[in-house]
Amino acid sequence: MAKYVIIGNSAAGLAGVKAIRSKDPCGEVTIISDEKHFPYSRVLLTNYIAGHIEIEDFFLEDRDLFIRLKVNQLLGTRAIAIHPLHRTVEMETGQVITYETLLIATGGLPAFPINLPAKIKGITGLRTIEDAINIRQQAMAGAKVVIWGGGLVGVKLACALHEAGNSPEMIVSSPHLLSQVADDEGGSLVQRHMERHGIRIRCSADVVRVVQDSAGGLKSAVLTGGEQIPCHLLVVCKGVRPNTSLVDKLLSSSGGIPVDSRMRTRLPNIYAAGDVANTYDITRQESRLMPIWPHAVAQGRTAGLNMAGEKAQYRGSLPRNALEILGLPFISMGIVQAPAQEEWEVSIHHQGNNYQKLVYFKGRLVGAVLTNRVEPAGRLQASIRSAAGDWLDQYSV
Amino acid sequence: MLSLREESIKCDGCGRCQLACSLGPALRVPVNDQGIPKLRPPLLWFDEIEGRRQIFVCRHCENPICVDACVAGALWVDSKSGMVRVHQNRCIGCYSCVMECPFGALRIVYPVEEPSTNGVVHKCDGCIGWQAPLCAIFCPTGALQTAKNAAERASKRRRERAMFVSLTTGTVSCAAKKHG
Ligand SMILES: Cc1cc2nc3c(=O)[nH]c(=O)nc-3n(C[C@H](O)[C@H](O)[C@H](O)COP(=O)(O)OP(=O)(O)OC[C@H]3O[C@@H](n4cnc5c(N)ncnc54)[C@H](O)[C@@H]3O)c2cc1C
Ligand code: SF4
Ligand code: SF4
Repeated sequence: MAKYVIIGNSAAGLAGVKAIRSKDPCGEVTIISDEKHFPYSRVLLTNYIAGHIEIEDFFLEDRDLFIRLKVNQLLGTRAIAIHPLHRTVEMETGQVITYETLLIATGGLPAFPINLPAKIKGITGLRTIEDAINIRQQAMAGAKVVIWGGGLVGVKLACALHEAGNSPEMIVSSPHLLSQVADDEGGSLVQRHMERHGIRIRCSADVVRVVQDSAGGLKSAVLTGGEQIPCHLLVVCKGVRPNTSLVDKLLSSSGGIPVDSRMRTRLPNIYAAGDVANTYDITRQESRLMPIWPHAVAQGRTAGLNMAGEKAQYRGSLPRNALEILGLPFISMGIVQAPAQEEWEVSIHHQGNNYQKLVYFKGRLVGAVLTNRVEPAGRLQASIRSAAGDWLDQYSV
Repeated sequence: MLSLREESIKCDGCGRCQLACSLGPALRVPVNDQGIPKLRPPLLWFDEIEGRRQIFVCRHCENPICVDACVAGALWVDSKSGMVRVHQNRCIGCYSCVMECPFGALRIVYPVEEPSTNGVVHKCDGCIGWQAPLCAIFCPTGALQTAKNAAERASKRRRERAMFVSLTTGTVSCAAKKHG
C-alpha cells in the first residue's frame, strides 16, 4: 500500500489529499500540520477582523472530511526534518514517519524586515487565526494600529479595521499602494478611494525603528524622516516568504522550492505545491513565487494526482489578484507595467472609478488592470493564457 | 440532468432567457392572497461587446476552475446532478471566481435595498428540480439548448475523479476499490 505524507494542512495540502484519494482509495495518507486547526482559509482572516464573519466560518470542509477520506491527522505538531535517503519525516515529538511520496505544502510566513527587533509585544504579522484574533481584540479595545506595507494583505487589513470602526494608518514604502500588483494609475485610484473613506496612508515612507514604553509595550513607530507615530500595534505586511526550512539543507535554492510542471522537486519522490513552491509564470516566462490561493489549490491537486500515479500537468501560473476594497472591485493579472520599448503597447480606458488597462507584448495580451467594472476579467485571463501558449520561448525580461 | 449548450452566434439578445430565469423559483410557490411573489435577479447576463449584445451563462464545466479559486468554500460541485453550485451564505463577495471564469458566468450582486452591504456571487443554479433549464426552454432562436451536462458527457473514470474531488458526503471504501 502506497504511503503518502503531506506536510501542511491548508489550500495546497488539502487539494493534494483530495486528489490522492480521488485516484487511490486504499493508500495510507497522513497529513501533518503545526497548526492545530482543521483546514481553514487564511484569505478570510480580514473578513473576520472586519466583523463580517465568525471563526466557525473559516473552515473549508465538514469536520468529518478526514475521517470519511480515511486520512491520518497529525495536527498541532511540527515536522522538523526530512531524510530523503530513508524516506522519513522527523517530527518535533521524536516520532518518525515513513513515506513513499511526500508533498511539501508548508506555505509562507510573513516577511519581517531585519531592522525590527524580534518578539516585541505589539509587533505582529497576519497569517494565522491566532494573529487575526489578536488584531481584532486589540482593535476592538481601541488600540491605535499602524499597518506597515501597502500590498494585498495591508490593503485588506486597513479596510477591515476601518469597517470595524478602528482608524488604522498605513506606512507604505512605494509611491502608491499595491505597487507589486497594480500599475501607477490603478494603484493610485485604489489609494484615493481608500483615502476618501478616511483611511490615512503615508507613501514613500518606512519604519526605521520602534519605541517601547516603560512596561515593554509598543509606544510608537519612527519613520525615515525621524517622525514618530504613536501606535500600540504594528502589523507588518511586507509580503510573504516561502516556508522552506525543511529543505534548506537539502536544496540549494534561494526563494521557494523549484518544481517542474508535475510539481516534482529535485529530490526523489518529493513534491511541493502552494506558497512554498517556485512555479512557471506564463507571462514573464520564468519561475518565481506567486503566492495566491488559486495557485495553491491547482498545484496541490496536480501534485496529488501525480503522487497517486497519474500524469497530470499544471497549467502554469499567472500572477493575479482580486480584491473588494470598500465597495470598489479591483482585479489585476499578468504584467501590469509595460517597459517603454517598441514591442509593448498599452490601452487605457479611464472614466471615474472605471479603469481598464490592457498590456500587450508583440500584439498579444500579457496583462490587465481593472477597477469597478471587472466582469471582463475571466475572458481576459483566458486570452492571456491562450496567447502565452504558442510563444513560450520568445520572451525574456 | 440536463444542462445548457450554447451557440451564441444564434442569439439575437431578446432576453427571454433572463425573464424565464428570474421567474423560475417564483413559479414553484403558490400565488395566494399575498399576490405575485418577488422575482429574483436572473442568473445569466448580457453585455455589449464589440457592438453585439452577448450572453454570459455557466457551462457547468467538468473541471470548474471557479471552484478551485473560491477562497471561502462557497462554490462546489453537486455530485448528484453534476452542477456547479453556490452556498451563498458562505460567499464573501471577493471576486476571486469572477477573475477565473472564461465565460463570464459569475457576477457579484449587491442587494438593491442596501447597496453598501457586501455583495454575493450569483451564477446559474442549473434549474435543479426542473426537467430542463428554463432559459433553454424559452429561447426562441436555439441559441440556448438543452444538452447533457459536462459530467454526464465525461467518461465514467473522469467523472468519478471530478466528482470525488468535491465530494461532500460519503466515505472512502477501500475494499470496493471504487468510489463515487
Ligand atoms: C490575510 C491574508 C489574505 C489573503 N488574501 C488572499 C486573497 O484575497 N486571494 C488570494 O488568492 N490569496 C490570498 N492570500 C494568500 C493565500 O492565503 C495563500 O496563497 C494560501 O493560503 C497558500 O496556501 P498553502 O497551502 O500554500 O500554504 P499555507 O496556507 O501557508 O499553509 C501552510 C501550512 O503548513 C503548516 N506548516 C508549515 N511548516 C510546517 C512544518 N514544518 N510542520 C508542520 N506544519 C507546517 C503551516 O502551519 C500552515 O498551516 C491571503 C493571505 C493572507 C495571510
Ligand atoms: S462558472 Fe464558469 S468556470 Fe465555473 S463551472 Fe460555470 S462556466 Fe465553468
Ligand atoms: S466571490 Fe464568493 S463564490 Fe466567488 S470566490 Fe469569492 S467567496 Fe467564493
